[in-house]
Amino acid sequence: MYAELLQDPAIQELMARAETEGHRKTVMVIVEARFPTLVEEAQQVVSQLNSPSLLSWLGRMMASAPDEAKARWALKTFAA
Amino acid sequence: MEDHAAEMLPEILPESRLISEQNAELARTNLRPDLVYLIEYKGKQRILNLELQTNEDSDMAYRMLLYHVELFGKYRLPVISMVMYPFETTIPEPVFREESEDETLLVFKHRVLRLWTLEAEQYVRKRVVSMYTLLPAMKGANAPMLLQAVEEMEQEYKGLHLARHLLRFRTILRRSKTLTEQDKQIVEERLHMYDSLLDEDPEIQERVAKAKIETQQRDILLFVKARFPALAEIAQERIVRLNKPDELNRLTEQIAGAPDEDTARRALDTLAA
Repeated sequence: MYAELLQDPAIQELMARAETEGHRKTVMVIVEARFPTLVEEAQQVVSQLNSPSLLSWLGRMMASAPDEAKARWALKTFAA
Repeated sequence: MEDHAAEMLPEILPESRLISEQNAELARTNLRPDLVYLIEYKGKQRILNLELQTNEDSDMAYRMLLYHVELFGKYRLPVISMVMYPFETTIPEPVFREESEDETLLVFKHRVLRLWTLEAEQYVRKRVVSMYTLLPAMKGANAPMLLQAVEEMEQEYKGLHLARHLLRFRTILRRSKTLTEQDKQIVEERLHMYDSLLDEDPEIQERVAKAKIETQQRDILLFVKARFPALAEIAQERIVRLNKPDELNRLTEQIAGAPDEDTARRALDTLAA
């Protein structure tokens, strides 16, 4: 109960931002390792996405894309 | 109450004095009292168990009894049990009674502090700054009084110390049932300037870093499951051992670049051994 009483929206916002940044980092590390030519494009898409679930989904798509064309297609989908 | 417990204690339990804060861990894993102090009360050493409760809990007396028994067992000192209710709520009788037929087997009482019945003005008049965090929940609190309290807190505390006090003050302000919405809004506006100080708080920085790492750990696991489902179990076990951003990034890179399952397995074995 004490911990709950000390929860503050400003802290919750910081935590949410940390989660989003964590997802962004993972996506970028995957893209850098698998599709270096898409780094710039991915950076743009990732910086515009703020939803943790969408970022996580994008990460999985980048991880499982069989080739660069599919990865680019996924990035375009998320950029839309 | 942290750093201002010493000043607050005589206010909530007259004739008491703080000796030290005690580790609240109890042997039972699911039992965790909020605040435990070694105090001097009427000249004698006692343990104070202070619980903060925001809503009605019909099992409160039983819970306090459990804490009481465990704390007594741990410290072998009389335990003063107190529940502080910051916001108006229904409070169950603060007594645990165990009866069998016409025999009373056990009676256990705890103290209750109803914050909303305390006059805010008395603390401001006496300048008891340690109690100011709780002022927004008290009777008679209003915007001018709280703004004055914020000013006095600014004089008393500095930097992160001040930010933490004001953080708790704001949390209580938002949930207060004694203040009008307009009063809350006026005081909230005054507190906005302290948000940036939170970013510099080492405790919060640590929590933020941990949240980021946990997110990356979850992501890598999902990513392994998507690409190499057969490695899901081993990945689950190994990834939690990596708790530095660099290590996690290296593992992500290696798994992302792995052409087959064997290479990915080797990466897990090497980097997260």
